Amino acid sequence: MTISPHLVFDLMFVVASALAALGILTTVVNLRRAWLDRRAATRLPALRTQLLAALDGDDSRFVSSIRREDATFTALVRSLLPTVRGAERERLSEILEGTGVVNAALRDLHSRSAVRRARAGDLLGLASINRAVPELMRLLRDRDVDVRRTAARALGFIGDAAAVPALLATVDAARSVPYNTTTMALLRMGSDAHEPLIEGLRAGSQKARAVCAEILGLRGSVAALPALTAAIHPWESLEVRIRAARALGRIGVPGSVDALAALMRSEEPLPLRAVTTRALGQIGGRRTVTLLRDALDAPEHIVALNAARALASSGDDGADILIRFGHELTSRRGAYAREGLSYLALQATHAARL
Amino acid sequence: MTKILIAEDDEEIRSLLKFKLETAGFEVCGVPDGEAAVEMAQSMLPDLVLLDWMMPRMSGLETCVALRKIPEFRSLPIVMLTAKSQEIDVDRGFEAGVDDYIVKPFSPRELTRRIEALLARTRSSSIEAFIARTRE
Repeated sequence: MTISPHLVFDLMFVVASALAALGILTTVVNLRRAWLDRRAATRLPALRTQLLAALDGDDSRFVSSIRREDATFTALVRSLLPTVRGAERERLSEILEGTGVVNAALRDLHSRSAVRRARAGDLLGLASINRAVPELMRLLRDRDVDVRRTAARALGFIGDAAAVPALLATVDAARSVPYNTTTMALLRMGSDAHEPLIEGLRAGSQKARAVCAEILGLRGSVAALPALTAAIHPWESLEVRIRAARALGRIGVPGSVDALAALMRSEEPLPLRAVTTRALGQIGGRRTVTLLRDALDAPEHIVALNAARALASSGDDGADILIRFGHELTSRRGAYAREGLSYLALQATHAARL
Repeated sequence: MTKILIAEDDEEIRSLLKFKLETAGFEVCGVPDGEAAVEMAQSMLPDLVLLDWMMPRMSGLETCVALRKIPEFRSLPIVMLTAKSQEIDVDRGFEAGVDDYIVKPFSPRELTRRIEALLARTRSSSIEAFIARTRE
């Protein structure tokens, strides 16, 4: 089969025309983008001055001069929102509301574009728009992982306790949210979130209970002590028990010592005893010092080491035990006691430098 | 007029700080990095320096150490304004010689109040030192 030279020429002409058209289109798009960037850069100083003045006083004229699709203005407010808190943050949110940007973002949560949904969720979270909570909770089940992640983060910023069960549900969901994102979002919420977290610790799934225990400990929730004490019992999963023991240590109430002491029995799993040793050190007091002294004799390296370090952080009583046992040059506990003393010396050096 | 030097690489935050502090009645100069802050401090002789930690060329921490090495700035009030909120970061900040440590997100009103309080304390201790020297 032979190909006619005319056909080859026509084909080459079509390809060359298409390439030329593509080149022209790319140039036009780039030129337009450069022009928009230049225009934004020119407007920015004046816009910034007006926005800062509006933060301090009457903003009605400024607000009415802004169009809701003004990307330069939205970018400017978005860059300030994560950095400020208090009255200025509230004013920025009010200005966003006044310009219609918030309503546009609420509509964008339904956009077909994942980028628009994520960007809208991010802005609504940064501006703490409470009425966006139901929609953001819906987006926790979005098909796009970045949208789910942004929704979780936004819910954390808004801090509405009603979102806690939905956030906890993401740890088991098929369309999940990365664990760290959920934890950070829950951690960022205020003390209103404690009650639903305690409920989650009592009745949630195993993964959700572990997350609740961790957050309640980090938040130092004294109200969670009964639920945390119940969560260290042997019928719970090891992960929940470990996180609950760690939480009791972080909260640091002496009333938890008896419950934690029961976890130091040799039949308990090693990771749980290791964590409990550190938790006892965080609580401190005479009774914990006695328990930690006994733990210096533990056959497992990590338990004995944690006990030595916990004693080093337990004030004069702990230091006395470390000094006494540190003289035992041949015993195992003597070695760990000296390890604790070196840790104590390190802390003292650091304190002296401060 | 009391002079404040701000070293902050984020232009929006720098503008916000400058605006708020100028509104509060201070004379403010803003620079985008630590190196420029050390240079500017020597010509401007500020009454207080506000430093961001994470900046290009020279970090806020390094800037603080560099300023403290200059005899005129040994007792200059320095405030660190940073997103680094860990206990160890705060320790490192004070170890480097800052007088106050404010974590982002921050309240501009609270920051202004803290700066005013720090300046008032510095002034009163300078006056006390002067009176003590005079009595001797």
